Amino acid sequence: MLRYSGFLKINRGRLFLAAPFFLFLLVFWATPLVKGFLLSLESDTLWGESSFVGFKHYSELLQDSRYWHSVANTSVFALSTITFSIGLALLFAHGIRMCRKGLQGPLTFALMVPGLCPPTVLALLFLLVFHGKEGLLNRWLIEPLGFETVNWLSDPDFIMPAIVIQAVWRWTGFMTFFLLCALNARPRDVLDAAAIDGVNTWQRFYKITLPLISPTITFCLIYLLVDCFAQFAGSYVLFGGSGGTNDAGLLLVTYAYQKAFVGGGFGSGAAVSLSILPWLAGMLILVALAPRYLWKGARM
Amino acid sequence: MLLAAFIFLYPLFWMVLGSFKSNSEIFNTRVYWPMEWTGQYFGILFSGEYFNFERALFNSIAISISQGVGATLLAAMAGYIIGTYHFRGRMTLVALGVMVVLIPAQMVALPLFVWVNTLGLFDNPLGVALPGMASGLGLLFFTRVFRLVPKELIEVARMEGASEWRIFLSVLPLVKPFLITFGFAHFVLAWHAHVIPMLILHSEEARTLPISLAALYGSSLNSPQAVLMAGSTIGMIPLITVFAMAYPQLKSALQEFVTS
Repeated sequence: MLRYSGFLKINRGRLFLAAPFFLFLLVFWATPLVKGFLLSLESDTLWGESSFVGFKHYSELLQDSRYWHSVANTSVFALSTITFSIGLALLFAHGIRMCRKGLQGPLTFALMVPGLCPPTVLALLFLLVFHGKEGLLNRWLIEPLGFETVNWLSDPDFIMPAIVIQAVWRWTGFMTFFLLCALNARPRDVLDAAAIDGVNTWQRFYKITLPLISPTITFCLIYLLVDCFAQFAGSYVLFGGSGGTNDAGLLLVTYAYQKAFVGGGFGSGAAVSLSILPWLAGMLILVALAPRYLWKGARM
Repeated sequence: MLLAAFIFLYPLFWMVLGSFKSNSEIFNTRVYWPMEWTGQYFGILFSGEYFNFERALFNSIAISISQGVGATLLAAMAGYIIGTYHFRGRMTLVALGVMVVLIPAQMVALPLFVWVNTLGLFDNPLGVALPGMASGLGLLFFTRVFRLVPKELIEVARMEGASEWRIFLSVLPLVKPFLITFGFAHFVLAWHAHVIPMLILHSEEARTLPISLAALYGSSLNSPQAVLMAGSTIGMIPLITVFAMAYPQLKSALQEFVTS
C-alpha cells in the first residue's frame, strides 16, 4: 500500500514540503547547539580572542557546590511539581466527571485559564499571594489555621514550596484537561464488566484505569519534566535573577543565566546549559520505561 | 469542584481588582474592594508613561501569531510527508524530532543568542520569531495526525497524478482541529516565552509585553503597581479570547487523539 522509495530518490514535491522544517531546524536549533558546545570548550574571555580550554568548564562544574545545589533544587522542583500537579489533576478529572454535563465544560475551562497566564505575569501575581505577612496565602490559609505567618519568598525553607505552588497552579488545569479526555475515552464495557465481577473501586482504578490512561500520563509527565527543567521566567521575576535567600530557589537555567550574563562567562554558562541534557534525558528514560514495569502482567 | 475552580481563578480575579487599587491598597490584602473604581491606571498604562504599552502588546501579538502560524505550517508540511510516506531515513527524522523536544529552546538560549547576533538579527523581532518556528513537538504531533487520514484518499490522489502540494492542501481541512490545537498551543508558548525575547530584544521598542512588564516591575516598587496589574489584565484578554475560540476544536482534537 505504501510505496518505498529511496531517501535520495524522493521526488521534488515531497522534498519541497519537508525541507523547510528541517532547514529551520538546522539553522535555528542544530547550529546554536553545536556552537554552544564549542563555546563551552572555550575560556571565559569577554573581550578579545578566547582560547580553547577543552572540558575544563565541565570538570569545574563537577566540583562546584552551587552547581550541585541547583541540580538538586531543579530535581526537587520537577518531582514535586509533577507529583502534586498530576495527582490533583487526576482528582479534578474524576471530580469533573461527576458533575452535571453542562458544568463540565466551564469547569475545565476555568481550571485551564491559569495555564494561559504568562509566567512573568504569574510571578507578579504570586508576589501578592506570597507577599510577606500580608500575602493572600498567609491571610487566608496560614493564619486561620493558627500557624505562624510564613515569609514565603525570603525564608529559605519556603522558597521551594512557593515556586512549586506557582507551577502547580499554572499546569494542573491543562493536565486535568488531558486526563479528562483520556478518562472519557476508556471503553465502558471493560469497566462495567469489572464492576459486575466484583472488582472494587480502588482495584478498578489501579488495574484497569491507570494502565489505560498511562500513555496520556506519560505525555503529561514528559511535558512537565521538560517544562520544569527549562523553568526560568517564574523564578526570575520572583527573585530578580538570583537564587533567593541561600540559593534556595536556584534552578539550573537561572544558574546558567547568572554564569553567563551576571558573571560574564559565556563559556561556563554554555557548559551549565548543556549539562542539563544528561539529567533531563535520564529522567525522561525513567518516565518512559516506568509503566512497563509497574503493570507487568496486569495488562489485559 | 466549584471550590477548586474558584481557588484557581482567585489570583486572576485579584489581579483584575488590583488594577484599580493604589499601591498601599494592593499591598494590604485586608482591603478587598478598591476605594474607588477609577480607570486612571489604565489611562497611565496607555499614556506610555512607563513603557509603550500599545507597542509591546502589538509586538507580542505579531511575534506570537507569526510563530504560531509559521510553526504549524512548517510542522504540518513535514509531518505530512513523514506520516504518509515510507522512505529510508524516515525514523531518523522522527528521532530528530524527539531530540528537539528533549532540548527545549531555553537550554540553547545562550548559544542561540550569540548565533542570532552573528546573523545580524539582534534586537529584531525576526530574531525571536524565526527560531521559534522549528518545533520538534509539532513534527511528532503532525506525523501522527496525518496517519489518521484515510490512506486510500491520498493513494488515489497520488495515482491521479496530483502534485504533493495539492494533495497536502486538500487534506488540510480534514485535520483542521489538529491544526488549530497546535497553532493555539504554540501561540500561547510564544506569548509566554521569556528567556529568548529577553536576551534578543534589547530596545524598548522591540520588547514583548511580558518582558516589558517584568522590566517595569524590576525598575522600582514606587511605580503604581496597579499599572502592572492593568497591563497584565489587558495582556490576558487576547489569550483568553483565542483560547475560548479554540477550546471546542481543542477538545475534539484531543478526544480523537486519545481514542485513536
